[in-house]
Amino acid sequence: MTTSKNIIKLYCLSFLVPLLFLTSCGNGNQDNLANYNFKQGFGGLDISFLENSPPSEVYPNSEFKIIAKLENKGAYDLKEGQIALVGNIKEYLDTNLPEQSFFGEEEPGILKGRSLNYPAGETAFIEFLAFTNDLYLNAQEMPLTYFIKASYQSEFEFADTICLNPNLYAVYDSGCQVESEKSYSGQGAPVAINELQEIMSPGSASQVEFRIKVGNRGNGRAKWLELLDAKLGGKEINCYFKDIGAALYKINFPEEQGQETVLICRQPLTERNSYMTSLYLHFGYGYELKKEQKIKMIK
Amino acid sequence: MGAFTNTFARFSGKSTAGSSKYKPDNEAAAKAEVVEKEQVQEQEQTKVRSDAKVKQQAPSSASESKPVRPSYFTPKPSRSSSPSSNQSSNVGIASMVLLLGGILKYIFFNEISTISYVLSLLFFVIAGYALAEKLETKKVALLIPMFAFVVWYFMFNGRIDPQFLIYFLGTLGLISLGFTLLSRGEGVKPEIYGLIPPLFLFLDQGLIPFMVEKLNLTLTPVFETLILSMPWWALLGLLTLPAEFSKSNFLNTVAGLLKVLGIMYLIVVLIFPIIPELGYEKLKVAGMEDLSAAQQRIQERASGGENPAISYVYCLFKGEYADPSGCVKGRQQDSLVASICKNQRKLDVGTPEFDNCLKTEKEKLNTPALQIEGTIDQLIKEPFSAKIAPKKESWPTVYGAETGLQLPFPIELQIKNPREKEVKLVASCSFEDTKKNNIPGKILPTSTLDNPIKFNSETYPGQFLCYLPASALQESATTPSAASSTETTAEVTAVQQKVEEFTLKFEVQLLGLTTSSRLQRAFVRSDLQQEEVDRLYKEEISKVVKVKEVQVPADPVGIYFDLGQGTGQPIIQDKPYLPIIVRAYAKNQGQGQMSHISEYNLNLDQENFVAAEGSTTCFSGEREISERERLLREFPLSTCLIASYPEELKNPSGLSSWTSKEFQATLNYDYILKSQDKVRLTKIENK
Repeated sequence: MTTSKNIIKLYCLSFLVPLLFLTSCGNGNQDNLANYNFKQGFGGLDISFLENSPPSEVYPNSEFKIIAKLENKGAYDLKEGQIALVGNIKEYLDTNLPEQSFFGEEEPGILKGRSLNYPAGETAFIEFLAFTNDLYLNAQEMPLTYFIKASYQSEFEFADTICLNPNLYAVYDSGCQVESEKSYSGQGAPVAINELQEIMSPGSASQVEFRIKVGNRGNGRAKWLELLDAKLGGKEINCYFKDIGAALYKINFPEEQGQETVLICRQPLTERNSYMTSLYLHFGYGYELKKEQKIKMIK
Repeated sequence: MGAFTNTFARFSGKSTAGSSKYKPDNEAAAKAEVVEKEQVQEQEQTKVRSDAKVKQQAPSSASESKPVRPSYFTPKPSRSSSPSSNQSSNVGIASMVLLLGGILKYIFFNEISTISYVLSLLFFVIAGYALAEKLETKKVALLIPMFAFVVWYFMFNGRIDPQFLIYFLGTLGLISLGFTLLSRGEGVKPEIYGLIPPLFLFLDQGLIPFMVEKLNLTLTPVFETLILSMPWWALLGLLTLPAEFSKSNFLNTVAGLLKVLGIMYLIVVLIFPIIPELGYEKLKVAGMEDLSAAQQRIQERASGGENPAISYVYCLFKGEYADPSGCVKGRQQDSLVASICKNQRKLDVGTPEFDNCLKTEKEKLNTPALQIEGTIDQLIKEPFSAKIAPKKESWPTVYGAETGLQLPFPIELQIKNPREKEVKLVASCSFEDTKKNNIPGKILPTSTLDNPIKFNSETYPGQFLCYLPASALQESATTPSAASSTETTAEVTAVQQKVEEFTLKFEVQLLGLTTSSRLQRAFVRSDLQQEEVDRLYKEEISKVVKVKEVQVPADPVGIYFDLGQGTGQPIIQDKPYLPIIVRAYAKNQGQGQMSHISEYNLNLDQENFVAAEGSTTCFSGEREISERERLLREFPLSTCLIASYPEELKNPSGLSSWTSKEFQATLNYDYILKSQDKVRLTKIENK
């Protein structure tokens, strides 16, 4: 009896302890907001809907509103935002204004990202006035599916301190250690640098080559990626996308290669000894996000 | 256990019998003997405990454990005395129930129905019991995955979105881990066993709809038939049968062989889905509106087809090594055609009608206009229907010679007109005597082609009274009945009886009926690459255009049509080398005959589609049906190319690079329903 009681207690504990950990994983202490780095993670535009907008069931020949709540959970502003109701079978469900622009109130055409002024990011509300037509023949009900699709442009920056060592042959080097591979957990945008590979070519004509994997880590789809700026130690560095070659700095993410590409940057080195320096990259990207919605038309 | 002790005794160098008589020569040997005796005693005690346990579990078992022997004697255990054999008899019962029940369910309740669903759930529980009996400890752990599956599939509707799965599987993992820790690892095996009943329930009831709807896979016909042609619960019953469930070695061997084949079949079915072009096609099929519709649609398509595995084996035996796939396809077609003629047309095998049906059905497979797949529209729960119901209980059987036959033959016409359209009908009846003379009957209420009966109510339970003309009775060839005269001793009166036989033929013409069907298509921008089109289909189009075939209500006649760049392809992209073809045919889906098509209209003109030059009747027209053609089931209506269509469909503008559209076709037709029933009248003449 005692044994079974102990077993029950152990069983309960084994449930409660993990629950305790789970509930403690909340938003965390936000007292130090000023020190909080918003430029991390893979946040971006988030689409949700107000309750009952749309309602789960609608009637034939009726109107209703679809109200989308757009929150910018990334660390950068969104611009050229467009949102549309797509995929609906117009014989049953249609809207008067299928495509609209979205932006915040702070600045026209811009939906602000997370910052000290907007810790949760700016929010916009978009309304679609939808209407239904007749049901088909003597159908009693009809499920309908459509999508709310949003498209926007944004940017993100990457900065890291790296070690360059042109003198790999030296046995003793009081400088830094080259990290040949590094991984990152996002820069506050759905498109992010995931890995950085550093290849040193020592010798008289030493150079460093960076192979930077950039990919989509958000819930949507990256349409294009453009390299806006690349600096190593404050000086311009030559970079190009592996898939398209030099002289072109904008790449459309091809379907067959998934949503990832490689940026190659090369720089000759003049220093002889190892040293730490900063690598800075600035990208622009186009992104698309959609949400599937289902409603039912009933008689 | 006895075998183990026996082996141990042998390993220790001691004989099992008379070991107590062994006298050690020295102290060490004596000590070893004591240790050995203690070990043997311990084993005996363990055996006693396990025997007692078995006695508790199976008190009515015929094979009872033998009484505990003294430690110096460990008998060779007989099969009937071991606890495992007691368990195997119980396992056998549940497994046999699964095996036999599964076979019966497959034969009688294989279609989608409530009974099939309930039986599957019942077998699900029995399967858990059968598997639990195979386990020795911690059987309750088997319930964890079973319960989890029930919750996931029925309460959460089989959700697979990652966020939900994280929470659900995480919680399940915690519970399993907790139980495993508490049971010190003994719960692992039962929990793994517990995955088997859900797997089989899934295979029996929900795998295909799940793959179609949730995973958006277009299944190949091969894979569909593999799923549908296996009695899954019977297979599980077979797999859970004990190794020696029968006293016959032959049966045990056969069962063992079938188990191996069954496991191989199961592995193939589980692997197939992940192999492209074998388990699924490249483009995904749309999800269905509900699970029953998905399963029914696939059942209609795949039912009647021979199991491809069997076809393949047959072709190999036949020596068709050069073109096995062609041979398999041929056999599949033959079996499908035979099934249609036997099960759908209800024709007897070997009759000329059956052979004719085989020929026409096979020809249909090669006629482009008729190669349009369609499915019953699940939205139209109440189609138009008409049925003749003779009221035989009210039919006269006897009449007096002097009075004549006064009573009519009532016949009910049951029409369901849920769309409340106007229906016109003309009813008539006639009697055919034994000499094949056709005698028109008088029918009330009267109706003619010029003056038909009209109604537009939702139902029409109309009764008709058919009168046999008196002249028919006078002219009929009467045959004296067996008991033609009776005489009583008290009365001089003789009663003469004559029996007359007729065939009452009732016919009703339904005029001006209308049916409609719908077809959904997705038009994508012309500049999209194929990979982008495939992605759009996978992520968006398949969720809107859920059914790629035409959806036809279960009316007496359906209009089947297709519009696209390939048979059943839901995507249309403006490409000069990919013309758009329109095809349509009318299909008799009822028990009567179609007599006339007054109009068919694909309504493509209104959508600004233009047919290729010369195709004046492609989008609309009418069609006469000759007497001979009335026996056919399909009537080609049109086949043509599309010359042009609206620009907004060729290049949808805006954020979306595709747009969906639903086309609706209508058909106005006349339909004839007939019934034939034997009438036996006894004429009584008093003399």
